[in-house]
Amino acid sequence: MTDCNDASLRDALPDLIHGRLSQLDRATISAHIEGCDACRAELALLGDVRQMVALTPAPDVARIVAALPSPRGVPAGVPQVASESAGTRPLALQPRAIWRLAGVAVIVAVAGMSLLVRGERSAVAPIERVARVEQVQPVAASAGPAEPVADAPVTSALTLPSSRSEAPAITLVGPVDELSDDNLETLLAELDGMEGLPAVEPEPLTIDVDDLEGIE
Amino acid sequence: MISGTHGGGDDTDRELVARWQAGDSRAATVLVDRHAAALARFAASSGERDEIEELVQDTFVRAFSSLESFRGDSSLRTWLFTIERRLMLDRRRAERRQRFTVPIEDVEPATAYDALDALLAAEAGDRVRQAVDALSPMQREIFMLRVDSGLSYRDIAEVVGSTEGAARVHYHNAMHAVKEFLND
Repeated sequence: MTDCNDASLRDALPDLIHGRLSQLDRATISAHIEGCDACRAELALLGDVRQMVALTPAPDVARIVAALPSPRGVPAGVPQVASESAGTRPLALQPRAIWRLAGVAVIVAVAGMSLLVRGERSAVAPIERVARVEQVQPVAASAGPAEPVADAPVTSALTLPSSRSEAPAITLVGPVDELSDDNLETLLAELDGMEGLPAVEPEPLTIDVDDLEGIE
Repeated sequence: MISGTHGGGDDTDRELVARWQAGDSRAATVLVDRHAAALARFAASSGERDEIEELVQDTFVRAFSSLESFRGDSSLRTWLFTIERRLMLDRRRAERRQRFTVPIEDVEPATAYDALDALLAAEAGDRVRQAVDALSPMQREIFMLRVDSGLSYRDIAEVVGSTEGAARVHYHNAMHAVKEFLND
């Protein structure tokens, strides 16, 4: 296999097979090759060399992309636009999914606002919670109205007459374990004075906060 | 050649790099798809036989980790070849060191590339492969960068750390050596 004497043309042969010549250069070289056995042979050799390495297995593009670092400015863990290689499609939300997500967001927001409003009400007017008292046990008429304990918090124990004509009722609001020893003794004494269960289920009693103002 | 599309889509490499830096990982997919095969072929033709895909992956990881340092004086592909060549040299140096410390029986005798070797041996182009393998490492790299990757002498000089004139001389010497091998 001999070499062509035109070194510049030989230099351009790789560019010819890679399609990187201008139209004029391609026409000039093609015309030369038709009459030059050495250049034709060299061009065929270049094709054989490329054929040799063409058998190299192609790398897995998706695997390589998955190993790449995140772009600058995109913090780690933030999902990027999905890869579309290897048959995968980029992550794109459908319109229906967007509406569903928006609906969920509205529901969560309304629920959060409701909880917030309830919390504010509870914090502003705690007395309203203890104002709704129920008649737990009727007290025997002989027991008489119980005397409120001076140091008993109003939210723990409260003894109120249900009405002037009926027996007074003991109402306990709040956990028993929060009562002081004196309060417990008073409560037990009231319970000891009771006589059996009422014949009929007592009616729930609801009083206003204004009624509590004169207790102390 | 400053930048090119290399036959994959309309966006240039530089545009894709900018898109990736803005957070679009699809741009990285296009870039990898565009250049991975050429990097694998260059590695194979340079004598790499083991874990070529891992080498290509390391090349891209290294490149994307330091894209800010890519000046754009040459094409992205040229820059990738430069990175891959450095990785190959590092790997060969590490293998040389390991050769003195690892017993021979610990070296895995079979590689996935052996199957490709066997296939190539059965092909008519086996003689061409032998001719290319007989070249010096520098000649082989320059020859393959010119023939298979189509790089200009200027880009080849940047990849191998030489001059444009030296790259041209190496190429013609390599071509002459291959022809002589095939004529014998």
